[in-house]
Amino acid sequence: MNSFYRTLALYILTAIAAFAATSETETPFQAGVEAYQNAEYEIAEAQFIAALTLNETAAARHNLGLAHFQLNAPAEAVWQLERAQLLEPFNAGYRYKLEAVRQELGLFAGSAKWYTLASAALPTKTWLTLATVSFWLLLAVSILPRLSDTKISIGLKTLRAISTAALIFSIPSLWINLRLLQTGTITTDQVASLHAAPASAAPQSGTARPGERARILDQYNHFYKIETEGQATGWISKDVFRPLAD
Amino acid sequence: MQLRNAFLIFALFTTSTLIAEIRVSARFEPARVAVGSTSQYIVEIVETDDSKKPAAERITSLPIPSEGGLTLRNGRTSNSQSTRITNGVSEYSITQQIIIEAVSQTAGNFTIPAYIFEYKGGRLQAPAATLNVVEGSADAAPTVDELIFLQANAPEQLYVGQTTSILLKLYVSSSVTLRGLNPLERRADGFTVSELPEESAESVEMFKGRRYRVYTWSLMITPISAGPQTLDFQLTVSAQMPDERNTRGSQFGGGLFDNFFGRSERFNLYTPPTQIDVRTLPTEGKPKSFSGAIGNFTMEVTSDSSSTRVEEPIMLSIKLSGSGNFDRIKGPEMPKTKGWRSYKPEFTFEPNDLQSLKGMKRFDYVFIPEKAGSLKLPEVKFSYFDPKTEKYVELSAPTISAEVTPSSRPVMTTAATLTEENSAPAINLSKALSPEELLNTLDYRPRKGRQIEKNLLSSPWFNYLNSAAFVVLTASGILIYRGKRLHQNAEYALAHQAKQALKVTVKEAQSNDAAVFYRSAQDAIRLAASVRVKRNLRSADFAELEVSFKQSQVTNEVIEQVRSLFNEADNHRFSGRIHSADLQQARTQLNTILKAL
Repeated sequence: MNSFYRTLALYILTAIAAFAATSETETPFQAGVEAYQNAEYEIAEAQFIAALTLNETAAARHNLGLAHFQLNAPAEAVWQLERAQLLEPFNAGYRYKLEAVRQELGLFAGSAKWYTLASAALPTKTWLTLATVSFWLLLAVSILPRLSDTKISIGLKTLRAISTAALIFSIPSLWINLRLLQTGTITTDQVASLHAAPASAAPQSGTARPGERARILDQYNHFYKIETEGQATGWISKDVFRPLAD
Repeated sequence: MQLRNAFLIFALFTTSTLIAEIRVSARFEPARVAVGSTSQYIVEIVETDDSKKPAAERITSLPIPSEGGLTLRNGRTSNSQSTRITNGVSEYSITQQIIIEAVSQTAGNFTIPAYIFEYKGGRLQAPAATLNVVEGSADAAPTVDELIFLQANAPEQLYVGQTTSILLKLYVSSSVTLRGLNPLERRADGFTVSELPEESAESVEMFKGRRYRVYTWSLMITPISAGPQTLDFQLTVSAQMPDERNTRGSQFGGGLFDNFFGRSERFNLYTPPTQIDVRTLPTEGKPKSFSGAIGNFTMEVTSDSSSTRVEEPIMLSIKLSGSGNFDRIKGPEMPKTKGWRSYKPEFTFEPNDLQSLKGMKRFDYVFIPEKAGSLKLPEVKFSYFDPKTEKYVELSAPTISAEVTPSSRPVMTTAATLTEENSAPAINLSKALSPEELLNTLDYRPRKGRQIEKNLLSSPWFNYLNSAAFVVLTASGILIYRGKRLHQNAEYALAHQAKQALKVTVKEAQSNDAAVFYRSAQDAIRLAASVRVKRNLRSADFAELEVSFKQSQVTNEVIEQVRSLFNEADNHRFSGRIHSADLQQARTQLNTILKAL
């Protein structure tokens, strides 16, 4: 009987110790924050990357961007901050820091346009759902009363007006959001070459600056065809350009 | 033939009558020149009219017969007009001169014969003119080209973008009186050339044993295209040439009155044809900092202070001294430097010569520190191409350190200000963070952000949503349409009800009970007939059915089978006897009838 109690006590103590150990283990995110505060930016970078592997959060993206900035990789910092802003579009702090880093790189730092902010009011999926439902509702409200030869009631008229309004708002917003997902940034800290064809040996058709935003026009093998903020168009290696929706 | 000659004579007479007020003359000026010297072949058309001012028709070419050994070049026209009033009668005249330069490299008499040219729809004849070209000799009078000529000392080779100074010299013999200068013309497509200065430097030079007054202008040229480039200048001058007849034969000699009353002539002077070999700058060894400076320069970099405060500017000055194309020198690009914010420079230039080829150009950059500490201003690099050594030279200056202390400016707060007189003084409870500090601030709260989904338009979710909506809308449409038709169309409604009832009846007809079977079979035939003829025949007997069948063109064979089945049903109903084999046969018969209907 004594041995039973001893075994039971040992089991309980082990369980308590295991619980305590588990509760004291810090997450990669917290470890990254701590390393950053201690100016150990390389460790912070690794921890934030680990945190993002587990769960992508805007805060982890933002912090990883700042770690890159401290490690003198501002172009990569721009991509991380752009992505963080995509995850949390209305975070003023993210936007301010993104513009500050872009300014460091000599890029235009202007405030976002009103329609861009308005389109970020809802996630892309919500805009798409709203547009789809509005479209079908509008179609139903327009067709079914004619089939049944009944007079359109005030309720149906209201529904038709709401559907029309929702469609008018959702389609441009959806277009802006989808277009935003078709963009990316230059992730190298050197000026990148744009080529006239998807090959490194192709003639140079322009240059893209570090951290510069660009819209993806096409892709082929290991190259994207992009149009930069500076209106330069050409093919760029996937090694130095990363889409935001990557 | 005679008729044609007569017509030509008539035409010539008529034309000359119509334009009787037009006179044409041709001459060489001077009529005697040395070999290689230039004379002017002048065709002069004088048109006079008493009633109105005549209008000259511009002549662009003349059909001058070729004269071997005489070169004609640089044709131009000159117009003048005059009005003379004699005893109250006006006479208007207009004179057009076609002036062509003539030069010969051989001695002899050169005559341009008379020729006819068209003018104002008529035909005019230019008379013959003769030029006497003589060999130059020691005692011969100097030619015009020896008395007054133009020269330019252009270099043989230049680089694209290299600015250099050339001297344009006008040599005027001491026996020639210069009366005036016209604007300089140039043929220099591959260069940018500065304007001719209004003032010239005057000097006296001996050239080939002759004394000249030399007027010198300095011009700046910059090649803009590579390859052999032509650089020619033309200057038109008015000058009075010495007149041998007057000076040599006069007892009083040439002098004041000859110069004063002498006649001035216009001369077109050309520099000897010059070609400059313009080269492109070599690409090999070109430094990144090269921005087009060509010459020889030195650089000095200074800052106006070695210490400052955050957000208080410090000035970095770059002085470039030496000789070269200062007008094309831009301020060196400043790399982005952490902790500093910089602006585009302002520059000043202090020339040391009239051509602005030598001097000192100074660029002032404003740097504003964004954080405190010991900061370093960026390293400055400037490169130029030295045309003498034909190599690029890069100058660099070491970084300059600056001690930056925190800002002493008051921090803007958003705290509400107290307005009461006796209130406590406001205390700054908040501090605005600098951009540097803000960039060091992490986000400590990981939140689940939005989902970033790409290819949403081709996602299964989107396809399901649309498919479901389509199905619901289509089904709703069908149901609504069907309900409307049942409600509005009685025949359709009857047929629909009959079909529904027929389905039930056909099922009941599968029974092995003969009574049930025959009753169901008769009902089924009546319902099928109702569907076919779209009339209610649910309670019809065979006679009614037969009439309806015949109207709807049912075959006699089917009608007979219906009759047979109805008779069997009556037999069974009244006699009550039937064999199982007969029931099976009747079921087959019913199926045939229903199919036919």
